[in-house]
Amino acid sequence: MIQNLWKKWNVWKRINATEGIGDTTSQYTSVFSSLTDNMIYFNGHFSGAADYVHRPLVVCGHQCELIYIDNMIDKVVLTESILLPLTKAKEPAGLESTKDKEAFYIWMRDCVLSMCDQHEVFTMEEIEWLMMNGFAVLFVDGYAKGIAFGIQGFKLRGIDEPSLDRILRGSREGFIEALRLNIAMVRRRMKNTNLQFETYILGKESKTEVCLVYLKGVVADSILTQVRKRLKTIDMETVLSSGMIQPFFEEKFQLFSSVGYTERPDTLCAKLNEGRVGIMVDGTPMALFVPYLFIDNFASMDDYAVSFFYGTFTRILKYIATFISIFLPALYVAIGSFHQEILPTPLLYTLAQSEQNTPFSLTVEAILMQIIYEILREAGLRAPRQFGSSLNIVGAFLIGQAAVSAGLIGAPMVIIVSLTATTSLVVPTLYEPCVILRFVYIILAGMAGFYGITIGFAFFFLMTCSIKSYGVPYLSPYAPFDLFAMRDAVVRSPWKVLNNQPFHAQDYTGANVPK
Amino acid sequence: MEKKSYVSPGQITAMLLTIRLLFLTPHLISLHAGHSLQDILPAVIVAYFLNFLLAAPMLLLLNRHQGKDLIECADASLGNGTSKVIALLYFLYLGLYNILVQNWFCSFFIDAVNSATNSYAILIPLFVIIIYGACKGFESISRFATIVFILFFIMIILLLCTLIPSISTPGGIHLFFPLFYNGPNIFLKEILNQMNSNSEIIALGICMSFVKSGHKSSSIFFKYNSFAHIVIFILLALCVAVLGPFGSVQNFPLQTMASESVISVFERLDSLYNMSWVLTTILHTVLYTFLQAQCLTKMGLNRHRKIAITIIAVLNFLGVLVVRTFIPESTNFTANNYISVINLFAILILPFIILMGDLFKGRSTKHEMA
Repeated sequence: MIQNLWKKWNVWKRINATEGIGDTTSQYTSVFSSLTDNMIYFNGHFSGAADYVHRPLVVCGHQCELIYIDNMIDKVVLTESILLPLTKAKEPAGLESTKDKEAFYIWMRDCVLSMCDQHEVFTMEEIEWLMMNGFAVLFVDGYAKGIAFGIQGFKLRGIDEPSLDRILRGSREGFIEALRLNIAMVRRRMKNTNLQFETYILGKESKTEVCLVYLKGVVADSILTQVRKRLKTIDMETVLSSGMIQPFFEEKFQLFSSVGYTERPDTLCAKLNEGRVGIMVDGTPMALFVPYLFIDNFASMDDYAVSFFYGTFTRILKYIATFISIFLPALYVAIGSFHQEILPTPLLYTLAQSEQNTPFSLTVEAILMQIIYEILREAGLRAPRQFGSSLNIVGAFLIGQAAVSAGLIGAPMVIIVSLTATTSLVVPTLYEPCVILRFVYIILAGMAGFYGITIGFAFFFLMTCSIKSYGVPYLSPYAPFDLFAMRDAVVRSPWKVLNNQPFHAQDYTGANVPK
Repeated sequence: MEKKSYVSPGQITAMLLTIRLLFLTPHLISLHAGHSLQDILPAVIVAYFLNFLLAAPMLLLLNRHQGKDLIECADASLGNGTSKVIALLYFLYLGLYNILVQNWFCSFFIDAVNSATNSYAILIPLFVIIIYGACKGFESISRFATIVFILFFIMIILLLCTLIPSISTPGGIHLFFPLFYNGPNIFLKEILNQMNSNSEIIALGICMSFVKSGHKSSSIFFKYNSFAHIVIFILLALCVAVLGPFGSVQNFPLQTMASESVISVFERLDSLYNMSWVLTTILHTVLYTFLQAQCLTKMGLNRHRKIAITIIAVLNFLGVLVVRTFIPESTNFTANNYISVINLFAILILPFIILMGDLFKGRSTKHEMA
């Protein structure tokens, strides 16, 4: 009894030691050979956890213990594939007579247990991590190792059509929260042994699994090295979404992100084939990829599923829509305030008539309407569904005929705002920078007309021209101009042209990416 | 010192072409053209060929030292001390053009766009963007130049498409004749005008160290010079054909011609075309400020680059204010004889001296770069 108490005291001391238990590779705690010590360790670590379960059992006279986290495992599989075989196991006569513990263990591991995802574990930290990921672990008294079983049974959202990347022709599958299933979706589409997955653990508290995916032989080594380096610099307490780690992969502060994201496995595979590196985070259906260029905002899988002329048409439409989304309110303010001579006389009279009774200047009207629209949009996003119809009615009043009739705003401004709102949704990935730029250009237009817009335009382009995404100029292939790459920029060339020569991110003119 | 970055010859060509065309657009023709606007057209053709003569010493020198710029060639040929003096001279030359262009742009804006505009309202935003752009580095500036080039040419094509129907008919061709009716003065003055608009030759000379080695400066020069003069000729011819004698009494005939442009129901589109000209001015001033900073680097002042650029921009801004206040006639600097002398010295004589020194010492690094 005294010996037992002494053992417990030693184990308790080790549990409560603050120096580097499992935080670094050099400080892992090995599994104890004594089952009691192991149980003291885990019972102590999970003492406050209501979902921690430990199930003692006896297998052919040997004391064993099965531990797992409730609701993370599939209990049916646990019962049928682990508990039942163990409890019904009968040690062979030859083995029983020899009393060879090692032989018994090997027999139990290889002949009794029949799980396909089963492996031995030797450290406490690994066991804890596996348990958090839906593994059950079996300890046998006298053995300084455990057997982990992958019997995940936690509830998952079904594979559904992505909400952000909708297309007409193509796959309806989107990523979900489980990393392993996402990896499987990518693997199903790229049946290539060069497809590599590297997993990392991020977040001191959350210990979230993050996976780097790339095509060996296609990706440039320098890009891969940079991504790995940045991954290792991420020092966060919790990593709960890919958006939280996205800033770590970007260059310094930018209006336009140089990190792309997608909810679609087919899109990610297409990017991998172009020499990009994908980053998937457990618990998020959004995969990141780098490098990310300006033209990537205007390309979608639909462009390649339809005929090349229609694909080209939709791309040009997206560029026009983005231009309208950013510049239309500013142009209206500039023309209305400073350059009325551009408008034909009948239109000028109409605009003057509609604006003459409004109390605000065009600049203030434009800014107010944009702010009100953004408030409505946010409210629509966050409000419960039950309030949806009320919000629609209120929105119609605020930026509709009622506001015009009240003399607060002019009718043309309502049309401008509505058109801007519609066009801003054509390219959702550019929504955030477009909103900021819209406000900036409205203010510049109100101050200095076309001159102000031009100054803003120059500032914007000087800024974007200086951005590089992992050595690739952000505005490629427009600046620096690359004629060969233009085959898939504004124009979507026919497949005969696109298939002629594969093109990767590091092949752009001006790309400073050592091959 | 700025981390070395390389751009393609195509980008340099586009950049220099755009800058060269800047001097065309709000071009003060009427002050020397009088009633014979058509006489400027043969002058443009002659100026095209004369440019080759002007640039020949510099091109020969750069060809002998591929991958090096003008000042680095001077360093190789004449020694470190002399090259610093040459760097200082080019620093002052680029600064002079920077000040004159800003002043002239300000005058153009007030005269042609909005006469009620305060100079500071034009110059201060320009000042801010010059500092921002010059600090971004040569690669960013050259990429920006590509964007400006594309927009500029879209505007020119738009101008052509909308104005060709407005050519005075019937017999619009008679506006081009007779040539030299009022004597050769206009022809000669326009040649001088075109020559004084050639400061981008020096910009080419200083930019060559940013071009990937193996590419000849003569090829870049030939392309941008040819394209520029073709466009200048076409636009000035259009000016003559559309405006006729009315154009010769305008301060900025191209601006007036742009205001005649009509697209569907929209008229007076000169404000829209002004956007491309403003962008070109921004490109010009940003590039020249950057090149001034490069000259300082060659003089040994290669630390705290952003502070240096800011100081250069401030000095240029003060220069513009001085020029606007005390030398109002500097707006038409391209017709000024003093500028002609300075230009000749910078483009022809100084590179010639460096070339002679290079030939005398028998040094050539062409074989090293091959």
